[in-house]
Amino acid sequence: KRRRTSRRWTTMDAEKKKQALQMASQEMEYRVDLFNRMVVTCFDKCADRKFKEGDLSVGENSCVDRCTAKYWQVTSIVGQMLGGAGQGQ
Amino acid sequence: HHLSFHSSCFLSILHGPWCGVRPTRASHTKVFSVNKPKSSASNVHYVGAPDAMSASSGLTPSDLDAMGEEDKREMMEMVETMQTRDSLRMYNGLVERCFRECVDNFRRKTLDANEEKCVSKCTEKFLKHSARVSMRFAELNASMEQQQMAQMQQMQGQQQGK
Repeated sequence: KRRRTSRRWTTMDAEKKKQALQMASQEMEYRVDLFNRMVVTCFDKCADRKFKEGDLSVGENSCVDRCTAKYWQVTSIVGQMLGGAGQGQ
Repeated sequence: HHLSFHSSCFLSILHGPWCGVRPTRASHTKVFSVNKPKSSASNVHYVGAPDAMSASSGLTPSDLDAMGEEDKREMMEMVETMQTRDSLRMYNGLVERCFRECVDNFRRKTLDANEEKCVSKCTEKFLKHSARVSMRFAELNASMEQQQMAQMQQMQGQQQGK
């Protein structure tokens, strides 16, 4: 009897592990996508198009810092509203 | 070149979600002055693969410890696949971007000097920009996690109080 219960325990654990792995990979994909979009968006908003230099100027640097902070804020607002909409229904 | 997984910030173009908490490579501090984030924890360290995994996947280090070696390996393989895919996508995106921005005339088959200069500056600028964004991303991530932990502890404290 002891053997049977331990086998069930290990198979259950494996399923949970599989679910956890799937969730983790989804979370990772989401994060990577978010990061990539943030990079592209803030570059379009902040970088000087003429490419006179290979370096970012001080102004561009500040712009990028603020852009990322605001982008993050927008992410959380949208996330909250999407979550709230789901719960409201 | 072979993409080794053991140093999670192996490619200079890959930062952000792969590097977890505050990349501390010297190259970043040379490129731009580093504003110390408010959440400067004492455990700032160079991020190894497990930290990159936990930072970007939402799994805690204790979750990762609870997994067996096989599962860990599976996770790491998955992360490596994603990193490769992401870096290739980045590469293609960057090529397209700099081409669009810099190349306009098609009188000749080869790029002229200005276009070449523009392309190399465009690439350099984008990579530096990407590195900066990855720093900020990691900081924002870390501060959000701290907030969440604090909230959870508060909630736990309230439950225990009842």
